[in-house]
Amino acid sequence: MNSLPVSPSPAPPLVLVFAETLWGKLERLSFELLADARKLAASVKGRVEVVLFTTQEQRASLLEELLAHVREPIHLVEHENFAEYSTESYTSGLVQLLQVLQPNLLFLGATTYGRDFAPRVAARLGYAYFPHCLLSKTATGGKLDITRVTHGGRVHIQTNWPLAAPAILTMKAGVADAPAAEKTPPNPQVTSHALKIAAGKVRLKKRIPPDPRTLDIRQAEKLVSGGRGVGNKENFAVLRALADALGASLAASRAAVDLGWVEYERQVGQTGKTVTPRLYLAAGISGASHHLMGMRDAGKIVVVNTDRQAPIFSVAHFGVLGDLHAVLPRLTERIQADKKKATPATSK
Amino acid sequence: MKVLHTTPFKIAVCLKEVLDARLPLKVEAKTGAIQQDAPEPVVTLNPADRSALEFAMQLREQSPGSRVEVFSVSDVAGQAALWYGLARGADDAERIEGSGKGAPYTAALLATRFHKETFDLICCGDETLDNSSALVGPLLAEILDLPQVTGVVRIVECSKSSILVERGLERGSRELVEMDLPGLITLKAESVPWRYVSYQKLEEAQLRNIPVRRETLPTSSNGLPKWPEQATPTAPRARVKKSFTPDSKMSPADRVRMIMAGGAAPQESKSKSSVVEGDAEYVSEQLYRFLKHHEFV
Repeated sequence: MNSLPVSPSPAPPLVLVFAETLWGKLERLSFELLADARKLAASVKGRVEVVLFTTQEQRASLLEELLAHVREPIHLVEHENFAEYSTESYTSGLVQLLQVLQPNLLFLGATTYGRDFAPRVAARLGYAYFPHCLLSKTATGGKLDITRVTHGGRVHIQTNWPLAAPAILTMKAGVADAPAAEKTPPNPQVTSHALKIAAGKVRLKKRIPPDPRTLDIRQAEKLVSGGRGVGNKENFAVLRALADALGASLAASRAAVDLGWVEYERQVGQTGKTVTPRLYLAAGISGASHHLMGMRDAGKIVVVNTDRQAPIFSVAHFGVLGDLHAVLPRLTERIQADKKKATPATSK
Repeated sequence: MKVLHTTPFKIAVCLKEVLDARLPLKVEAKTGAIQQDAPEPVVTLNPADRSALEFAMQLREQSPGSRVEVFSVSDVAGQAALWYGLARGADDAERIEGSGKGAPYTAALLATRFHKETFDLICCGDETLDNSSALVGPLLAEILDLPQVTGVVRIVECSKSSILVERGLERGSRELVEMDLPGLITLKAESVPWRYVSYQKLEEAQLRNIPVRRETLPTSSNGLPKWPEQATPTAPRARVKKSFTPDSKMSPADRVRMIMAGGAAPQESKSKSSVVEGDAEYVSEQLYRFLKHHEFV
């Protein structure tokens, strides 16, 4: 089979989304890509379809997770070589699938895996490759306006690309919002493709999950952050305990760092780090503009403070007017009690 | 890093000199030229490439007899990267010239060079500071039909036949993987601590004559992704997430507070958010429910 570009047929343009998995779990980013793909497909009167690579064992759980959000047709490739990521297996699988499906566009996450094998796929098929895209819009004359981010986000490069020439676009997390879960369970068509998948040349030895305690706060999914209101260095134990219970990392405002309560690596704000976790719990932080600049793009912001006038309440999704020393330990206990209840149930 | 059976390695390191994008940049509106706000452009060796170079040098230190050669696809003006490589102690440097622009051509030119001479290990940077396509490493491996590990953050062990490395994944997860040699790895910036190069060494390196090799690419572009020739750089425009007009009924103090909050619109967020108060038992339960509702616990 050769890889000729799609002939100008009356068939509506096809936008494929690669649903990426990391260690047997779907990446949230895949849903963000789906949202972007839907938007683009709507503007070119195209259709969206989803690609999933899985093994026999993981098939059911991954499909279930996918079906919560996806109403589009799903292309499934099931093979034992997908038990772990390898450049060779993913490349060979996607190359064959793209030859069958002949899409106009393929959306992929600009993740370590995505950036590892997508260039090789593009090379084998002679597709165009647009790394680290921001968004793609339709321009006139069946052409796409593709914006690529370079120079550490300081430059945008725009390209006019014909929709008829197939292309792979990779995108980083946070470019689009993930669509909400479908209310009525959709029942999309699931097509299984039996393909010959190459074996990987690189052997996986060990998976090393992140330790929230030592994780760089810019990579953390959840942050528990404290400020001057915590009172002293010893009181940060309250926040640490909550962070451990939540599986979150500890962060701090400049005030707490300057007082020597928390190390500088954990400082959020203009003179520290800019973070975008899914959850940011700010305790005892008043929210000077320098701090807000570093965290206001977090997914959900929870505030615990005794001062109703504190500016941090202006960015909060959920605020608690109260003393963190009273509220947080109770919350920690509540979460731990919940975990204990859950453990015997799952061990059955 | 542990080196087993100290056998000599032959290592190639690919380097690129880049405009330091960590400093302010501006995009010329008419020509689309990307410039620095300075009389002279501030260039640097790409940070990820520096990690690759540093790793290669450390490997050579631990296995005597090894050779490190540095390569760069660039014009004369861009050869400072090679000078740096030589100053850091690379045995040889070579500049490669060729037609075509863009990451796929860079990979193809390097590949034609590596077709003529086999290396045990090719080390590249994970991505460049300027173009950030992260394309050269995987493409080079594809053309040379080599195994690859991209996004390496730590090298654990090295033997003549294989290399054990940790690759960085999403949100701080890592994976320990083993790859047979010959192979290609790309290293992330900051993954290997750098050593400084003395000024004297740098001056000595600049006096060395760096050989140039002109490579010609096979005329058909088969085996390469298409790379758009026509591209317009622009300065990123601030994306407006929401705009608001200050409520004239608000007191000046409130308006100031709103500005202090970094432009967050309090009218909107107040309606969305809820603030609970009461005794600690009650509010912590409410807080727990909020976290539960959004699946954080």
